Amino acid sequence: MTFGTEKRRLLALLAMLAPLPLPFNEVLGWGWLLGYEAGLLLYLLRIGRGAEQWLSITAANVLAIAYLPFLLFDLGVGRQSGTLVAPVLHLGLFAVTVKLFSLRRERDKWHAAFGIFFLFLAAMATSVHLSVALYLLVFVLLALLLFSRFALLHLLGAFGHRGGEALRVPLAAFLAASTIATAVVAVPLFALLPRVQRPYITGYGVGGAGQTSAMSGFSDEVTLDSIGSIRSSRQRAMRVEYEGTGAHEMRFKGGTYERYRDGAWQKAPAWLEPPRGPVRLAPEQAVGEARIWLEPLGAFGLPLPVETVQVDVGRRPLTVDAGGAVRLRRRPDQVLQYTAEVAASPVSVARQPEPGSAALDLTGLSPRMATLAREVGGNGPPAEQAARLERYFAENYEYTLDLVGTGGADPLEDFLFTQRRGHCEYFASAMVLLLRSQGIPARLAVGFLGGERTPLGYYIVRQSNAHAWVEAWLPGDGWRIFDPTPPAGRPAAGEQGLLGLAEQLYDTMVFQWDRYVLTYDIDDQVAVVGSLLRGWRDLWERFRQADGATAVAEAAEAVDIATEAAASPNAGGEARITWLLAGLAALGGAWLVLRLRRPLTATRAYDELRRHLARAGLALTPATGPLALERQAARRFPAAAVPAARVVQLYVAESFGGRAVDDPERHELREALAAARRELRRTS
Amino acid sequence: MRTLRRRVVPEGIRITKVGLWYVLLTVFTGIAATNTGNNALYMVFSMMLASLVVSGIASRHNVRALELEVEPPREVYAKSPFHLRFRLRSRGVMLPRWFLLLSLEKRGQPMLVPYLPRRGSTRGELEVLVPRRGRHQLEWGHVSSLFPFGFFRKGARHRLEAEVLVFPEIFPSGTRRAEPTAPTGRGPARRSAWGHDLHTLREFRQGDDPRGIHWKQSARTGELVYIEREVETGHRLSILFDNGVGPLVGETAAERFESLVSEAATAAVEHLGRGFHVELVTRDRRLGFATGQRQKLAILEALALLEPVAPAAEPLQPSDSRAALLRLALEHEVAA
Repeated sequence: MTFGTEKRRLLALLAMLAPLPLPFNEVLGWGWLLGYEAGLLLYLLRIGRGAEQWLSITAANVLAIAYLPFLLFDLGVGRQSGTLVAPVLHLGLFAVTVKLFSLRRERDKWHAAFGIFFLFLAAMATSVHLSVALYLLVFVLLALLLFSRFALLHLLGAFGHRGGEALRVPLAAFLAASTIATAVVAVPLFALLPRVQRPYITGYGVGGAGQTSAMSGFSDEVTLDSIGSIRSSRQRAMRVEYEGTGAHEMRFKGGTYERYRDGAWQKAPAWLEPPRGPVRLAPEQAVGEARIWLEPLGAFGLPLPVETVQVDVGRRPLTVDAGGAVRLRRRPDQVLQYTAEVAASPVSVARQPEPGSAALDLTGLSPRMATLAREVGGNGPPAEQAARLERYFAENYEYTLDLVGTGGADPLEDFLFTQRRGHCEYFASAMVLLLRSQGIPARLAVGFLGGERTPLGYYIVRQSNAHAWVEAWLPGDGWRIFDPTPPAGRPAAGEQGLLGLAEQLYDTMVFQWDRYVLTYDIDDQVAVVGSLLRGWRDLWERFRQADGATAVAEAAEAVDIATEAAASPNAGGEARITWLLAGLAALGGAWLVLRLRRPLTATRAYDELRRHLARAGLALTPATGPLALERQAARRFPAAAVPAARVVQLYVAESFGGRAVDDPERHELREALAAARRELRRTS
Repeated sequence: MRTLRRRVVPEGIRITKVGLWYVLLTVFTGIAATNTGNNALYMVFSMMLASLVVSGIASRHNVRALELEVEPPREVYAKSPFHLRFRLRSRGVMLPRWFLLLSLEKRGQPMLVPYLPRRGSTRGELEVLVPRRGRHQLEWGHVSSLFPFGFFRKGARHRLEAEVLVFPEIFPSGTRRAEPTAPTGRGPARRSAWGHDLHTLREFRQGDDPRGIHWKQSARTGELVYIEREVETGHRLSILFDNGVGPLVGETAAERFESLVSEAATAAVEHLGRGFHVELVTRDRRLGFATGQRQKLAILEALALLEPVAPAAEPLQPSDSRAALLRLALEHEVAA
């Protein structure tokens, strides 16, 4: 293969790769991409066949002129649709193809490379998906290969070679390593490069694709089919991390509903809490903490563990309804992190412990339903009646999601007496009305139940974990939770299989990508740099007086801590970046200390030898001179006599003869000291 | 062969045209990223900067941890290119070396070593030209590289401690200006030597120079026949080089002096090549009549190191007054 052929091939491969993400980003039609790729395949085939006839410059210019009318038409279409990106990309694809087919001079190859870079930049600039990282890595690898080979071929060409020899220069391993090294170096650069604009994409945590479908489970009004449709979604709703708590039910309340009208529940009244930090919800003692990252669900509700006694959402204004459910004043458009202090068991007392009239509202209750309540609930204390009703539903009704949309005029009546199957909202709604018909105040609570435990120790709660249950007022006990949904229909907490694990890992990666790459901004940088400076100050204090060996040990320890902290599920994103940078800084600091450390002198080596001898048991006094030390060491540790004597000899020459050791002697000193230390350790 | 490894001195970094364009594109990407706030562009920008960093580190590493050994040839003449044999060895245990350009002058004609494996070595020859006679120090071996991506040309010089004795320039045949006088002594002596005239033909004996075999006669007789030639006492040349000229003032005088040294060297080499016995007489040195390779090297070495000395009144005298004379002096160049 001639050098020219190899250069053409490399350029063609890079050109084929460059625009691949564009159709996925919906800025280029698939037809255009396929046509372009087909053209390049043809080009590669011609290269493979050793073709020597390529487009002349004149032909390329004629093609460019012929393209002009189409370009004008394309621009007109683009203007109508409000974007000029597509025409520009079309022009880029056309130019690169024609240029590749008309490569003649060396500079033409670089012109083609510019065109390819432009396509690559367009592909990157319009990409938001995680997979673009892989694309970037592959492109960088191929680009580095191109640069390396071009440099080599240029050199070989300058020395009169024409082909063949270049193939024997192995570069693959180096290129792979340098691509990885480039990616590693790029991480801190990416973190520290100054951001003066808000990020191009602001709704982070949404998987890049804009997960904006409203979670109607937390809207002001909930139809009976709301949760049923949500339950079929595998999208992540939130991530939860517990600290300091033991077993927990993983039940998160997002809203309470009291009035049932025409097959829909209406929200309980709420009170505005001033934006003053943590909000107390219940007087119970907190035993632990739950940190929650809520995806933008298009709703106001703030799902909280039913054990929550206090919530902290920063200075965001909140409202708390009669059922103790918390709502935001504004829908979050990005992942929202908040903390809930939790008690050992579900809290039973909400803000308004005494039930209001709404909790006994019998709207929607039919005579048949009242009869059923009497028959099933029977007499006795409200707790027993509620338990009987709960058991009745669990044992006599079947859970299904198929009932969605088939409720008819009175969906609850239909559920109770005709279908006898439904999903959690039917069960909970029916039980609320049956409890009320028995004079027991009750309300509907919606939220999430269960989640998937990830390998990193936190939980992923998906929209499929959406659930509805009943809160009933029991004299003396307050508001108690009843869940009439059969256990088979309840979303469960538990470990996932391999596929689930892969899904969790993917979710985590997407989350991290969105949060810490696409939407990384100046605030994140300030946080990172602040903690980095603090960390650096601490490290510097520790390293300041340390010599090289200690510095390395300290740095290694710091890196260990950093790695451990970064891997910890408790570490937030900024903290992870900070720890990563701190680890790198520690290594850099150690390297600096090693570089700048004082060179070994004979006096320092002699002092060290004295220390080693004393540690090995040799009785030395401040009056023991070097020659006496040498004699004593030889008597007591004959194996270490020779290296010790050499150290002493150089010390005497330096200290009394005024002659500094030179480089070979310094090397000798180091070795003699190491040998003496080794022998002393072995002997003693 | 002398080992010429010592410490490495960086020789800076020079950006190539490709590197310049790459840096400009990096800046362009950085501006685009800053203006748009697009973190995907920041990623590209970071990667481009990182590749420059990696390129710098790799190229720095690439020209280090090398050992250079050179073996100068026995005869090196001023202004005459010669091939310096070298051995380049990598002491690197982690990475091989790529695209090495080796030269003895920073901007001299380099030798390309495309690949050097870990702890591997390569041999080659560098073409070197030394302009002046005398002792010449090969102080540094210059290694540069476009590795890894051709953005920068990074250089480092490796200390050499080789010394080459450079003989005077030898003028091309027929361009020598000073011709020696004809010999004034007797004709050839009747004894065997390496003259031009035939002395006798005899049977080849062990120890005889095979070059003296008379092949035609040997073929005719079926025995190896040896040619004995007469010694040519008249084939003696005495080169009298008067270097007692005091300090040389001005470039012209220095150039003239060098030219005379080259004249002497050329005459000596030519005559020794023709079997002459040649003598060199200077103010501070006298090399008696002798012939052969050893005499040639001795005369060339003496001429290579010849320096002007204090002037003296008495003229230089040859050892053999019947030998042809070549007198060379700065003021006048005479064939006496």
